[in-house]
Amino acid sequence: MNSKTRRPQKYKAQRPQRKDLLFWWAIVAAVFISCDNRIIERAASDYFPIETGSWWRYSDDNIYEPHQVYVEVESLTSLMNTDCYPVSYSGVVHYIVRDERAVREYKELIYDFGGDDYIVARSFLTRIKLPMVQGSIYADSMSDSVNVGGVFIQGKCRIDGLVSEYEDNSLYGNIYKIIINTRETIIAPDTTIASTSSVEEYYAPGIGLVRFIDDEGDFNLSDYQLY
Amino acid sequence: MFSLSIGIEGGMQAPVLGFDDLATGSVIDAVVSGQTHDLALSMALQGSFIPGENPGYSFTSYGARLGLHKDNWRISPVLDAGFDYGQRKLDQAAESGYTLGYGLGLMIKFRYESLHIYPKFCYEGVSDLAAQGGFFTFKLRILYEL
Repeated sequence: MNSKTRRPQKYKAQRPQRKDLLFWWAIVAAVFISCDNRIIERAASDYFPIETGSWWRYSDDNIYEPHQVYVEVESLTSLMNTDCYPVSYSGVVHYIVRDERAVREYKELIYDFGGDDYIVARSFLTRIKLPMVQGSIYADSMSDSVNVGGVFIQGKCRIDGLVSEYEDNSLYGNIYKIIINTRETIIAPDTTIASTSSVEEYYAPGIGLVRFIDDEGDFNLSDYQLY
Repeated sequence: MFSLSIGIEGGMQAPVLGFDDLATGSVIDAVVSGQTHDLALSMALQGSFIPGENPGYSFTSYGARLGLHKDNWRISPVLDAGFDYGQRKLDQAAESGYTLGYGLGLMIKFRYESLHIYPKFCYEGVSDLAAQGGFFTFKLRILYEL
């Protein structure tokens, strides 16, 4: 009799414990699942590592005539009293400054007159506003003029940027997509020279640029070395 | 013997792991603590604001923490863990998400009648399970024993 009366009591005591355990495991699982959003990766990582000697190699997706772009950071130099990194894009040097607010690029507008080059305007313009946050919209511009043979030549350059989105990449983690539009204009009394360019760039944490799409094609990172 | 205390905790946070674009920020907690003669279990609702090196940037988080320390020691190790909602904002653009938070450090106990004062030094980490960052934190906890 005693054993019959004891058993149901024992089972009654166990059932709520199992339910409690399941409830708490469900809470813990929900917490862990909701935390898998990589916000700390995006907040704590460096998306634009730039050090002398670092290099990245990109290849396009053209299987018949493949193109490669080799990007290398050269030794720190000074331009317009600003310390900057010369960054060679397959031999074409761009001057880049990176600080806590932005990645800025040296831009100059040149007017050719009688075989001589005249710098109409020059400055470091914001190319990427830092840190990258989805939805960030920014713009930077310069405007100046120069007297060439008694005629004023005006130059304007404007860069518009949008950190369009981040996406989860199985290889690199959360990568940011940035759209950068550049418009350059040189205005002379008898003519206006205007050019526009657009590039989509994708940045990965701790690596930097992993993909870019411009007029030349769609280039993906194939190899890199960071210092 | 069990006693209950309520109070606040506030202090400063400086990034030490990752978060190179953040400066020193501030943190404030509302704390409820239950003590036996040798162990204290506390629950805190926490809010922190950390400005960026870029003046338009900030990292804000709100969360809940469960903490544990030895209340009968003058200097006691303290452990806490919890769940945060974090938001990073640059001008009008923002991103948000949930994170796990944890803390590990030391507390020094001072007591004046019903008032308990604890200077607290700790490392506070945050993680999204893919990456982690951390802050060195100094806080002052002031509790009133009910």
